[in-house]
Amino acid sequence: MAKLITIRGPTRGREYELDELCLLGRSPACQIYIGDLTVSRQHARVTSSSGKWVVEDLGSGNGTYVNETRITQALLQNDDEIRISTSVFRFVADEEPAGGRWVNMVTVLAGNEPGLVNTVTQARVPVPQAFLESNTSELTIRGDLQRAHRMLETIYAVTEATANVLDPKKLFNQILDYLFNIFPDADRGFIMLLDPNNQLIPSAIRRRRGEGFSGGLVVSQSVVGQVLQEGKSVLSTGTANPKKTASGATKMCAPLAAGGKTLGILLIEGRVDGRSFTQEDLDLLSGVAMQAGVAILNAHLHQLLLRQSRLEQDMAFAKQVQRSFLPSEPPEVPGFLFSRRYNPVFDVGGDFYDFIPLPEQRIGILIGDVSGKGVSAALLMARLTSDMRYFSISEISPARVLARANAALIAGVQDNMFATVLYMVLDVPRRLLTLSNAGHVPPLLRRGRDGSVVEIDEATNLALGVLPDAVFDEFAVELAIGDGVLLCTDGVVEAKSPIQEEYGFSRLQRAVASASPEAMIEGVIKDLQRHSGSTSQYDDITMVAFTRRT
Amino acid sequence: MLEFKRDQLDDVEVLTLKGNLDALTAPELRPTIDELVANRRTKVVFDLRDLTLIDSSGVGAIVSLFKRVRMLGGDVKIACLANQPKEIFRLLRLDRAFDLFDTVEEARGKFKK
Repeated sequence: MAKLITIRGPTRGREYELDELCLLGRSPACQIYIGDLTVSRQHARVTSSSGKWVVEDLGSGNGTYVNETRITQALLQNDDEIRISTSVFRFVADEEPAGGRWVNMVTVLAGNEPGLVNTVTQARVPVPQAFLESNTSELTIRGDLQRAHRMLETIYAVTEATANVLDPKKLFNQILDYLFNIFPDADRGFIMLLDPNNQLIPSAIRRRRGEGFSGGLVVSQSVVGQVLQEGKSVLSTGTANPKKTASGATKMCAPLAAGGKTLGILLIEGRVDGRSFTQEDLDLLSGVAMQAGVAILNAHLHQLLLRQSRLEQDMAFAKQVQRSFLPSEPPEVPGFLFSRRYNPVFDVGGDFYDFIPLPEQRIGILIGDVSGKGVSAALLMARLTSDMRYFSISEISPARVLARANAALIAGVQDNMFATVLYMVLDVPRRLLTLSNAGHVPPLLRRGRDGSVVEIDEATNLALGVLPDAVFDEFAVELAIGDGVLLCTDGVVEAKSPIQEEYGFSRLQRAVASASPEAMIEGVIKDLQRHSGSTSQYDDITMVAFTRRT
Repeated sequence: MLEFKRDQLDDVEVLTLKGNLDALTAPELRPTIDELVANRRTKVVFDLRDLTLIDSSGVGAIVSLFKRVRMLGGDVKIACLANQPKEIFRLLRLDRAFDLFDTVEEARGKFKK
């Protein structure tokens, strides 16, 4: 087998048997790792093609030299010297020497005199078979140490490279990149993660050559089962019998786990013409999978945090949008007094209200509640407010205004959104209030003459956004001096006591006891607080009140 | 907590909901709703006997299925409405959109005519 022998540099004395592909560089995932800062992470590679060996520079910073000539690519001859920064490797061509086998030289030779080359040459003498057998245990131990070292280096490299990668896609690619470097015979790599239903979903797939796939992934269910259930790595022949793993393993599968939870599997499939995977390869894959599991869990947690903060940003934006649509001051209307209260629980509630100045001394009064919360609710509310303003100017009848708003809502929003709206028009000179209600909490009318309070349940129709051809009716009532009207949202009526009892209409009716709109609202708020006691406000509370003064 | 069950009785889909249908649980119903629509199931009955609580997001989920099934020329009927959900349906005047029935059998029977 062809080799590279380090004759100068940090790894001097080491011999590397050349596989079909051998990477040289500062990345510990390289087959020939050079711990030297002047060396690029993937500096050069040595590949073979039909018995010829070629060295290529991989766009390194400081170049690759063969016999002191800088190259981009060169055919290697026996005894050529490859220099990468301060490291020099001698290429030994593939010749089977007579009289014995080459020992895989692992001893780092002592001494730093230039005479080192000779020492290495001495180490290359053929070793008789008998000697090999008698020293097997020692050599095995050395081999194990070397392997353990390689494995630690690799795992360290994976940890280092993945520790701060928080984008799952990048992370998966990074992990697969490393595995392809470590396993030159890998043809395809898969990261498959368990979804909430415990189904394995391919999350990243990498193929060494070309794009796309020549075939689907064939992996025995029992192999995957063993990996997932027992948390064990498995070598597989890819045939129906997963027990045949001793030789000819073409697939390796390792569990991805972290925090005591199985996240999925890592699967490496070998080239058809490549060498079989060994137990050593599998151990290495398990080590990488362990680190990868931790990194994947981290990335997942980070995604959750990110989503959370994005949501918070959206909410803050929605809050701005929403507040900008609510009138800042109650209107000034001759002979009438207006007041309103807006207490949202969440940053973005679904409640809204509006006062719309209309021609001929009329004023539109609107209160509503949009289903859902957050951005979609805020946008729907914004849209509904502008629709209502537009339709209330072009239509005189409140029922018509709601019918048009309903049609617009049906046509243009998400199908799971709807809204309740109570819309009334106050004709100031005639003291006439005409209202139409789309599924909203009915308004209360307090008569000034006797202080009686009634619920105006008339003209209550289907909520907006449910049925395209919904029919709306309207109801008119004349307001006498001292009469007051209170509009509220369901957060008021449905407010709970500590024993989960709803505030309800009868309590609300009793609480509406004052002649001024401000005191009306204040009275209800106080009574609500008494009812709720220590229970925190669960829903938005919005109220609008007005009274006829003269 | 929401539990839901999907049964197919003849050509009628019966969705039985148990527990709370609110902002937290309504998204769980979404895939089923999408699937019903994708499969053009035009006869749907909600069995709400064991539904203890519904909020506007929950109503939104049912309304969503209703709107989409109606677009396909079908209908969604409601059976066994009780307690708080019944009150909410009343407040929103949803009886003007949905046919309400005391039993699932009655609701299914209406589809056959």
